[in-house]
Amino acid sequence: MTLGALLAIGALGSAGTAWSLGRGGTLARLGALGGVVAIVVLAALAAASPTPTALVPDASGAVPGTLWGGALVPGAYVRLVLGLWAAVSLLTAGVAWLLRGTAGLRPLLPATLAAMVGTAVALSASTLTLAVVASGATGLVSVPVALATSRPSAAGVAAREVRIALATAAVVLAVATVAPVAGRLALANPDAVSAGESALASALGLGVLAIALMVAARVGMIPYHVRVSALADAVPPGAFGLAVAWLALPLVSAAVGVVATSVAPVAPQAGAAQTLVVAAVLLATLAAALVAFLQDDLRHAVGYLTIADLGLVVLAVAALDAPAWGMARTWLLTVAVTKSALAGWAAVTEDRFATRSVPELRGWLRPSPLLGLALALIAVATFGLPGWAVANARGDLAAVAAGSPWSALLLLASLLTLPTYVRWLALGAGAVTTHVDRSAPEFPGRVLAGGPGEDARARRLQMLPARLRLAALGRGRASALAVEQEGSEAVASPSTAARETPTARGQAGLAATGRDGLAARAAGVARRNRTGLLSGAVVALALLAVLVASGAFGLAAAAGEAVPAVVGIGLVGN
Amino acid sequence: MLSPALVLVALLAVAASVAAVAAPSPKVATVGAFGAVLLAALVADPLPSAAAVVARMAGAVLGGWLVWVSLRPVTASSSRPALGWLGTSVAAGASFAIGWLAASALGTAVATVVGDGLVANVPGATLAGGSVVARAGIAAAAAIAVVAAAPVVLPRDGHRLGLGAVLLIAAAGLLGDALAPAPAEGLALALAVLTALAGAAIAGVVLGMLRTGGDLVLRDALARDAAVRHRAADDAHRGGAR
Repeated sequence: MTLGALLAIGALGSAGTAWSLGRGGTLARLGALGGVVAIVVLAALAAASPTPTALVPDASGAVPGTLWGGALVPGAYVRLVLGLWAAVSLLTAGVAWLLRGTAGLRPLLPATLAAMVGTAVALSASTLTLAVVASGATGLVSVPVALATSRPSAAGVAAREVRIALATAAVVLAVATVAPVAGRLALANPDAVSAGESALASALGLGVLAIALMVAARVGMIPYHVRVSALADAVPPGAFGLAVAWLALPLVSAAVGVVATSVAPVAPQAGAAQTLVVAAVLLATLAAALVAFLQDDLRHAVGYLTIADLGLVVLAVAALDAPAWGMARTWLLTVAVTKSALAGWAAVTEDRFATRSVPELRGWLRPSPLLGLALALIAVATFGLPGWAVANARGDLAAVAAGSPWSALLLLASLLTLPTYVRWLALGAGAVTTHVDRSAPEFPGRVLAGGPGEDARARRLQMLPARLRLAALGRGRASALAVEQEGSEAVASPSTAARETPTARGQAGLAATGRDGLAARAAGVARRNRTGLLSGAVVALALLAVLVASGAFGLAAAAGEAVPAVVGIGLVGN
Repeated sequence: MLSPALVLVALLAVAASVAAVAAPSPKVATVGAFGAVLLAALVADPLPSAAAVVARMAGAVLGGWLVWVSLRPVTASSSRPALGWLGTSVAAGASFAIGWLAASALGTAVATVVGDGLVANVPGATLAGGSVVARAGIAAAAAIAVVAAAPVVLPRDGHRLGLGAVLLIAAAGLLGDALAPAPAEGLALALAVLTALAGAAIAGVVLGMLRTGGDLVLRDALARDAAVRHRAADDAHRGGAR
């Protein structure tokens, strides 16, 4: 019942939010509010959906605590995923609103709600075939996200998202259907399969290879990375983590489940297929780490960091080992949260310094120490400390997929994204560029340490954007503060802001603040403190990522829970 | 009793998929693709419940209608494979025959292995029991997958790419119906929703392509190295992109 309400509220919330955000004006603001409320309710309903203790049909054929006669069974993992996703989404929505106003929420909120509904179905499914189909539908959520921009390339990007969502689901569904039959044959002739000599062994190897290819394509592992680069250019700020990391979670989880439950028990070795997959992951991880380090486009670098980490999950397919299921799901969730935080950091950084060129960000740490803290936390969450869930999952995935020394090489390759984070932090400590010099500081009231004899006010003015500094010099400190505060209001883009005169925008902003009600004034206050709030939201995202990476919320246990088995209706293992 | 009719339906589904790929008109192609999905829902032994069939048919009709509506401004023909009607039909026919033989071999293998223990509600039971409908389902799945591969792997326009992907889902559904241990209404409903959503997504892509380019051609896909040298006009790597 609770699960049904969750799905209904999510679906209705998605449709209602999409409609109202498209209308503009007051309806859009109400829609945004409704979307936020729907996410909160959805997370609460997920938390209130306990796993049934006994999955036995009653006299009427219904299975208490489940939906559709046991087809959907809520578990710990789906509760955790939805809860964390809701927290990440609320923070990301806050960032998107501060960056672009309600226009920034137009694709994000409806898409997030729809994806959460689809993921809830996929992760609750008691058959893997149902999970795969639901994952395919969930993957289509990236289509409206890509189409939300007016870029000429948006439709092409969306077309490829249709392909990746449907084709990967179709192939995994086909393997999930055939695997139990092949498994039945393999059980009857185990010697031929273990020796790898029969056509059946070859078929199982091909099945593993097909699933590995589909998982690699879904997560954007090199050489399937082109769509991730295109997404990085096309999707609005805040939506990148959703489109790349979160939407991959249900399908990859189901695909690894197919291998773990249908193939691994009958074919613990797949010979050349396993070797091929491990070698491909090693090379792809090395390439992605290298490109991320060399990449000067911040969005693309974030994309490569994301696929470098996500690509490791393909090792769970090559492992042909049932415990890999839990490792993969732990890894997927930590990467989704961590890379959402990284994408949020990149979006705020790009907006604040009005550039996505990494070299032009030199000196960024000085006016934005909170963003620096966030990036450091994200790096910690990415690699973890010994004993943390993320570090265990990384090491275990490498260990189960390949023996020594290949496992050590895989582990080393997966750590090679660290220099990129170090590069960005080191760059931030350098001499400031004009882009950084013109940016608004995180703490308007704080006087940073200046040189000997440097007047505090002069230093304060130096930290203001150039146009605001001119205004301040012309109109005195009080007016400068007013203009600086107003200059932090959410605008469509930095270029738009540059076209408008500070005076005109300031008058309009103040007038709006004066005539509107409490909500508008609260929004005005938030916008005036936009710089600090944006940094705070990114720090919160990074802290959440650290918590998840450390294994909080019972992550490892929830990820390792088995596919629920309903007694008496033959749903197991299909 | 129904078996010959259902084999004919499987053949019709393959014919519809050939039309989806080879027809010059995008509207005919749309009818072909979603017609194949609709017909594929019927190819199962035992027949699924009426609710499951109605759900899948409704999903196919809704998805096809959405794409059809989005194609209203399109009057010209769109791209089609170099193979044309004849080549695509031959490929589909050959794949159907190979799929039929493979299904027969698989059914024999399963029957041999399971022997007297063959019972309902195990994967592949109907195939092992000698059902021609299950064989036709697998053969049709093979044919549709082969026909759909070209527009998915080497796409020339966004509309055909989407139709190809829908056909792949139909092929996987046929395979599932032929090998599944028992009809599952939940899966049928999920497939119906997926088909309808796929139609909506393809419609969105078509409208987006018409809005930005005026036609359905995936221009950057025409260059093999599109990602490296032929970046889109709004790409960040081009000067003055920001």
